[in-house]
Amino acid sequence: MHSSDNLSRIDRRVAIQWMLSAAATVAVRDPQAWAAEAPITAKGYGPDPSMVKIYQPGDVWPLTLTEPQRHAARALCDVIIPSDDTSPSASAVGVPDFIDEWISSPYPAQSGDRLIILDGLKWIDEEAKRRFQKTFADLTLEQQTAICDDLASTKPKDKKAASFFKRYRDLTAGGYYTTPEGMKAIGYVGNVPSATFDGPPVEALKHVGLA
Amino acid sequence: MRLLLNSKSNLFPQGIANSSGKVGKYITDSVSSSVGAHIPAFENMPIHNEDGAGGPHAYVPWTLHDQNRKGELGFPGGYHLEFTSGRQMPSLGVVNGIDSRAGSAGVLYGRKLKEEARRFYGCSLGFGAQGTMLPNDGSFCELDPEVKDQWGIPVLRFHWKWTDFELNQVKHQQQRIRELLEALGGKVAKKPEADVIKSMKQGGTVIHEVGGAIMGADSATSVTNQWSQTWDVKNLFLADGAPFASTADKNPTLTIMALAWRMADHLIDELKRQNI
Repeated sequence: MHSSDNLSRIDRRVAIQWMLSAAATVAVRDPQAWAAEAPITAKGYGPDPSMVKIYQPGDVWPLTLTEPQRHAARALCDVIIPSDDTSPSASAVGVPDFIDEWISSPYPAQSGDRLIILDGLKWIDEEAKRRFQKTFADLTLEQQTAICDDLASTKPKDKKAASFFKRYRDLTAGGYYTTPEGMKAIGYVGNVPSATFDGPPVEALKHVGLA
Repeated sequence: MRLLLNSKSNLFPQGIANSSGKVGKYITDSVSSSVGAHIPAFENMPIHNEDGAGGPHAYVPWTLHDQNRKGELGFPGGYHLEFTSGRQMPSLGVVNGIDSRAGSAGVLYGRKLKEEARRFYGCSLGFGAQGTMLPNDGSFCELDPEVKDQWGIPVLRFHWKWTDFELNQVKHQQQRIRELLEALGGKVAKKPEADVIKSMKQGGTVIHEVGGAIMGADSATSVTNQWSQTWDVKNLFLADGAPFASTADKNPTLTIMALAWRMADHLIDELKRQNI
């Protein structure tokens, strides 16, 4: 179902820029709320990272996810954001790399997510083995969906796992929709040069009953 | 302020141009709060480029001058409104609140998530107010007695106090913005704060802080004269936001430029008269 080829990483510099720009808008979470199971010792970039250097994986801070964890991370990303007729899946645009950078970076806004995600990926593989005798990445989409439906339900049995799923969903969607492909998928067409400002088009005005 | 206060000498033991003791005093910033809402009428809006529809092209000026004059509002001056539209470049929180908005008690994912993300993207509208602040004795800066920079020079430390004027203004902002949004059919998720300070931006965070060497008619109670020229040192002019004696309901940059221009005209006139 997967090979190491299709787990190739996106350019490190792209992943880091993406992570930092997406993170610039997120509120700081309380790192005290989570124990530091795997403490991070890297110091980070400081205020003025060199964005013209080509970074290799591990240059600035060590990445966290092991190969088995990457398989689970990738599979879960694609259950959350699958490809459809008009747009690619989350893994096709590198969201698992984004999440690996996110949980590996030494900043307070991310440190709370680190434990949630490492625990959650462990849980989801254990759950897959318990119910279907395979790792999550090796399940059929129907089996993966059965596990995710339980986590996404109104009254999940395992609240900790459900809260992991919600956070992972938010990060996957946030990562996805901050890529050029994701922006296209959601309908963002701005950030292009405009010689004039013409206001909303007539179709938009009609939509709200103003034309 | 920091330069003036640190420039101590036998002539100016309190810092240069500070015989009044007013350097660092009377700092003000815009009085600001905002409210955002989900606008159902915007759902499934035809895709279009909305860049520039907010701040750069729309501005709601203050109009309630009559009520002000009659003292009906409980605060002086007023505020303007800026707005933020929804179809901005997506950020990490782009699906925040999507589950309840879509009527789901659980967590959306898969194709359904993609559909709902597209449906709800761009359906938010927010208004932010920025208003007048009069100077008060509790909002000022001074040299920090402990903290120094890497060259051993004391840094500033800041003190901030709101008065009833600002708190009354923010109450008015919050109520008026909610009325505007609800008139558009908007659903405001956030409940009004009982403690009005929690709904307003902290002093200094609007980054419109001005004052600290205020202009005035009396050398005992101000730092500069009407030409932004310090009372104490005739060849020292302050061409930034420091001479502002209050914050208006507008952003300060154009006024800073106008004051600097006026100061330069005065210098040229005086030069022609050979007074300087």
